[in-house]
Amino acid sequence: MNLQVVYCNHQTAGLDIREKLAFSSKEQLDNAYSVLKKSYPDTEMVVISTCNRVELYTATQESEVGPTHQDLAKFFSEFHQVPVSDFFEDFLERTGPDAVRHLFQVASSLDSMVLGEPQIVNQVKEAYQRATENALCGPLTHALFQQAIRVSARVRTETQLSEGRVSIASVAVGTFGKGIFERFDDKTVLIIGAGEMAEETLIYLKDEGVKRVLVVNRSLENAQKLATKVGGEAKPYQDLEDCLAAADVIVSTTGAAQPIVDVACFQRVLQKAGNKTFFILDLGAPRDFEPAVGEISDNIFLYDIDDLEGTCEKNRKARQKEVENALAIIDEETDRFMHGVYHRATGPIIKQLREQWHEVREQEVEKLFSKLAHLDEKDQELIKRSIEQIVNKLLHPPLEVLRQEAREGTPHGLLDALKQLFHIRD
Amino acid sequence: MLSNVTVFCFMASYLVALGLELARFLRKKNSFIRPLIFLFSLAGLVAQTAYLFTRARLTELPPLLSSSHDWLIVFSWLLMAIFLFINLIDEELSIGLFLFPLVLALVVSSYFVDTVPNSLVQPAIRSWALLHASLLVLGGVGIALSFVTSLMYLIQHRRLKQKQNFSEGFNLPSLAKLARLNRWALMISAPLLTVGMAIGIGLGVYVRKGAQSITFFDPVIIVYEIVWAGMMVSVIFILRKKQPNQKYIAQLTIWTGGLLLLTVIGIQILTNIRILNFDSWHSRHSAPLPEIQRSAAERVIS
Repeated sequence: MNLQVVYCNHQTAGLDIREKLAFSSKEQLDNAYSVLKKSYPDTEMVVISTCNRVELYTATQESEVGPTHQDLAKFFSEFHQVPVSDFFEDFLERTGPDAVRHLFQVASSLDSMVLGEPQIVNQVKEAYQRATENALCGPLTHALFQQAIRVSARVRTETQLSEGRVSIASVAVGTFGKGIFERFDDKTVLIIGAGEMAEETLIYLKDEGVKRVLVVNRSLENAQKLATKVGGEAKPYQDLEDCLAAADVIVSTTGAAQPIVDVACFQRVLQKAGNKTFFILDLGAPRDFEPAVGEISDNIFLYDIDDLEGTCEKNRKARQKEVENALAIIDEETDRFMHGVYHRATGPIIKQLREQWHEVREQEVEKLFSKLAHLDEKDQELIKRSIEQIVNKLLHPPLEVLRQEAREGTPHGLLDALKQLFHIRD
Repeated sequence: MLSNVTVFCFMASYLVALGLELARFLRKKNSFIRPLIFLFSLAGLVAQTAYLFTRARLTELPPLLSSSHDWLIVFSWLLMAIFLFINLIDEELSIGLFLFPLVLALVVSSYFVDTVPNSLVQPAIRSWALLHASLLVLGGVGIALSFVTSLMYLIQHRRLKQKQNFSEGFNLPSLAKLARLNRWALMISAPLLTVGMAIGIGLGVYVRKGAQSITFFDPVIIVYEIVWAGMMVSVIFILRKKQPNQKYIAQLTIWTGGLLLLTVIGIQILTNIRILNFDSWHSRHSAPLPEIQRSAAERVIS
């Protein structure tokens, strides 16, 4: 049994690297899954790709058949056309309990840029669902991801991690937006993209008093859905430049593979808008705005995900105690999960061994009772119980050793020995 | 008791408050620092008020009419009162870091300007002179606040452009608020200074008609008029633009406002300590220097 994760996240790599390795659309992710499935048919896989991380979880029953760290780096390199040397230093690997602990931390938002943010668990759920749809999940990944979702809920309930500023939008608006604008109720907000991040940002901005909201998306239908939900106005994608000119706050969360707003585009916008102030929050990975857009004028304040790192670190330090509590829960759950995994590996052997021995016991008891026909029912019951206890006592030491060994990992040697000694078949 | 209060008393209080502001800035949030700042500032203001009362009693003139020294003390008193008022409204705002140096500069400057009542202020023109001094001091406060808000604007702008966080003990208002406050400060102070200056010239003409011989080539007045003209051009430019570049306005305000404060006070000091050999309307070259000023002047010259 082999569990592994290879990843690159906001702590290990900058946005310039992450955006190159990200799977920005569902189609791209499905393509990646089909390539992976072809190369490693016996491996269970789940990809988590968000603005802050790209992670690939793999699980195999036999450690020899799964892809190695280098194999997966090569896959990312070939799939995204990025030389391995560009990212390998930031492309980390964890295996076994470390991989499990990592996923639990990710799902519980301990590994998120904004500590306690609620979005990540949905992103983990979506990733798991996508992998299941692509028939890449198996017993191990099912168990792992379902447990990760439960752990996330437990951390949320038993700690106070989710209190305070817990979304990227709230951090961005709180740290930078409120340094630019005095109030938001007279501002026009433009949301580019209609995903979950866009919705969450809008909800936060609505709480800040924003009244006029424009939603632009490549799919007008999705834009309309979001606009209806938050009381905004959906606009066709062709009107993007007009909408940019009308907006004071721009939040972009598309999954576009290339920037959708470049310097030339924004200069046209400035001709329409004049010398007003823009607060632009580019939450896309890859980025939706060319970084140079922020340099066009003194009144353009452009921020991407990585610009929020400093504030998030302060937030993390302020809640160190809650982090420690959450880590204790995660350690406990990791141990429990690993124990379950190893138990699952030893379970069939233990079951077979017990069944085999009790079968022998029953046969011998039957033989004995046929020879001792004068025994009444009470005596027969006493003999039956006594022999059963003898069998259980004889089975106890080897099974206890097996259980103890299983706490440290799958006891392959011991299992093989038991199979050979007692003629147990898989 | 009140007569024992000296300039040093409140200057020391403000110095301690500035030190505490710096500590708050460097050592992040600290719950006991803010009340201490407030306490020292308030103590300083009370001492300064007592000092002004004593001076008014001694000279038998309102402080604004008495001398350049008293005028500067009133100027710094107003800034401190504004600081305490802002502190009550928004305790997190780091305005003290900007205002205390200004207040201290004014208090220190007061050592180097005339402490004797201005002989040009005759009883007949006392009301007009009071109006002239009041308008100028209020205009000056407006310019000082405009200078401070502009400085804060540039620091906030730089932080936002460089995508940085301030330390926990350093909080500035939003750019929009700073721009609005700057605009208001300029809009209020520009007419006050203009009317104040016009009354001053009118008073000069009146005094000249009388027995006193004064010249319109007073360096203080000439420099003030030049900087005032520059400032008025800036204000008109700022107010005429619909969507002005606020960073540019902040820079312009710092230059014009800073220059106005620096030159007007600086020229008064220079004439008073005899580095510039001019008789000024606000500082008589022929008048003897009090002991404290004489020693300060000697130190500067040496």
